Amino acid sequence: MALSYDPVHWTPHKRLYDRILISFIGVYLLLFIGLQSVFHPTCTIETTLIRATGTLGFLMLHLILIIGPLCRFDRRFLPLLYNRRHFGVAMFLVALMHGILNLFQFHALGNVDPMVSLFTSNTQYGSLARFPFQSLGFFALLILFLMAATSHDFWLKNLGPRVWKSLHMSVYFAYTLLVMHVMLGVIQLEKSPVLIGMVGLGMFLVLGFHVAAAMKQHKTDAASERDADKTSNPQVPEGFVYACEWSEIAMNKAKMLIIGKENIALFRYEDKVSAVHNLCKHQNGPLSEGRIIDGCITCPWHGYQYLPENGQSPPPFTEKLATYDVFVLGSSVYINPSPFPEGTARNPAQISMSI
Amino acid sequence: MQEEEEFYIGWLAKAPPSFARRTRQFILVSVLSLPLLICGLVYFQKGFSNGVFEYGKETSLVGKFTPSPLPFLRLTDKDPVYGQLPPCSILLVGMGKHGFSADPNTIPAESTVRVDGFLIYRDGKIALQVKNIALLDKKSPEEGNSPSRPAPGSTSVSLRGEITDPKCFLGVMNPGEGKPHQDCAVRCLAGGIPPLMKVRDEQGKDSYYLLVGENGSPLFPFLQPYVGSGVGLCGLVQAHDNWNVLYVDTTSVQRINKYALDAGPMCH
Ligand code: HEM
Ligand code: FES
Repeated sequence: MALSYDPVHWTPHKRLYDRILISFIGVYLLLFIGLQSVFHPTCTIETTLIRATGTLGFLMLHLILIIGPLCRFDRRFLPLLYNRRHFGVAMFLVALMHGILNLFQFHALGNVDPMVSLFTSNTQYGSLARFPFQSLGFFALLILFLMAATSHDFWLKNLGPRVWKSLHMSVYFAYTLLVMHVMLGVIQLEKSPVLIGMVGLGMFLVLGFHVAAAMKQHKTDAASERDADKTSNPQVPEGFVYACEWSEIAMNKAKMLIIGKENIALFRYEDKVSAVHNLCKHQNGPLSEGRIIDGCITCPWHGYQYLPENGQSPPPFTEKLATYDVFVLGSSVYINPSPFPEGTARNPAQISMSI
Repeated sequence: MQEEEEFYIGWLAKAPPSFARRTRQFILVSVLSLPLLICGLVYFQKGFSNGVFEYGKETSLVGKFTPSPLPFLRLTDKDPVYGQLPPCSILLVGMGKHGFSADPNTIPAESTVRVDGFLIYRDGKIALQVKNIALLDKKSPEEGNSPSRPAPGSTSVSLRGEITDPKCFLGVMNPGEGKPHQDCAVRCLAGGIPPLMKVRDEQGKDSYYLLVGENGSPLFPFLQPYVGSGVGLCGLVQAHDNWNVLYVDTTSVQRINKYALDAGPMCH
């Protein structure tokens, strides 16, 4: 973390990423407009722009949704996840352009206000095939707006991680609305099986990656639960359960444990073992997948840091994690899964002393 | 294993090589698949009409003004307009999503006028977005005769097709039909542009009808729920030069499934 509180600060890396992002958008729009004028020279420029921005926004949303589970499979995609916010904001701006163009094209210069027209031109809300699909796009755009507007860590701090996370989980609702927006809208006119297939493939990829990532996570969780099952030794104090052999934890890394309702990250560093709550205070990143860097537990998602002995972020930061008591007997590590209040200092278990 | 050991933290200036490589691969794959994806998206659209809206290119036409049942300009000029020789009627529409109408006292029926505006045409059907209308020879309101009822002996027909608005359909928008265009068509009809029905025959050839009520009255908002999807209806058809005007029997209007255009007996 930086010395001053500026969680989204600029690095050459981010600038490069943004340049790539802008080029991606530019190349897409130019290619779409160019190819449209070759294949469909009589199409009006308004329709071309509407379709170019609509499809680009939808494509970007797919990429954004796929990056998350992709990182579960291969951590080396993490730089994409880390920079996803800018991708999200850019996607919103592209979608906004589509929305405004549509509002102008289909609703402006009429006998009522365009926003009134948007909701009253087609009132067949009770029919599926004739459903007013444009309203679905509007509500999806509203969600994307709220997400883009609150994407800065300032809002994460102010709303609290729980509210912020729920708000940002509504991206899945927005995605569902948009699939309907497309299927009940343009697909009612453009019935090419290829286009329908593309929408289907997009849904398949988004769903598939999420299901596969959830299954992988479930397996990891189940594995750590089995470990915790091992019978404890009579020399071990009351309340402690077997966790693992300390040799199973690589130096400066961690092992995740799920014991009862507790999700714990057990870290090994120097000749010590410490345990903290596994979920990062920033956005619930999995700390057990992080490292100890400069003596601090470092979150793999956005690099928030915590001291392993007391779960506190080093000053000037104020984040605090719950801590746990750890006990080492011979080569085995035991843990007491009752958490201490967030930020409570607990002595690390010494490996050398117990050998 | 070097790669196992590498760890990425977003706030560092540089990602470890293996992370940077994966990220580059992702970006490369996304960028390289773009042309293919866009080709698919563009190529597999169903195609666009050859309708034209000469926006910004002003045309001046002289003819007789017919206000009812619909506002037409009947050309008296000798020159062809978009390949159509007189007798040829041009549907007059207003700016944006508005129809055209004139005060019968200022411009009585059958008066000779000069209209300036932007042409909209497709498949031999022409409309004009009126920018300016000037009276050249004024008929007295009694003299002019502009019928609002079908002539005796007009043909009774039963039609199945789609209802949209002629202004967009002929060329202002492309596509100016179907579900995506439904809201706009409703807005145009609400603004006073007459409904247009597109009927496709078995050979795939389209013909068009401008719709009015049984005594020439406007059909909006009655038709609002039928715009943009399949409709079957009956009425009396009357030619207006190169246009067909259909006096719709409103009791016969029914929604049909567009894919079952099996024309059964519908009119009584
Ligand atoms: C106020 C909000 C919105 C309105 C009024 C709106 C309206 C429309 C309309 C009228 C169409 C059919 C256009 C055509 O003839 O091709 C369309 C298509 C589409 N929309 Fe939206 N939309 C909105 C928001 C969104 C958002 C947020 C997205 C997501 C990025 C989106 C994605 C699409 C896509 C992918 C298509 C199909 C491609 C196309 O036909 O343009 N729309 N939308
Ligand atoms: S989740 Fe963002 S730093 Fe941990």
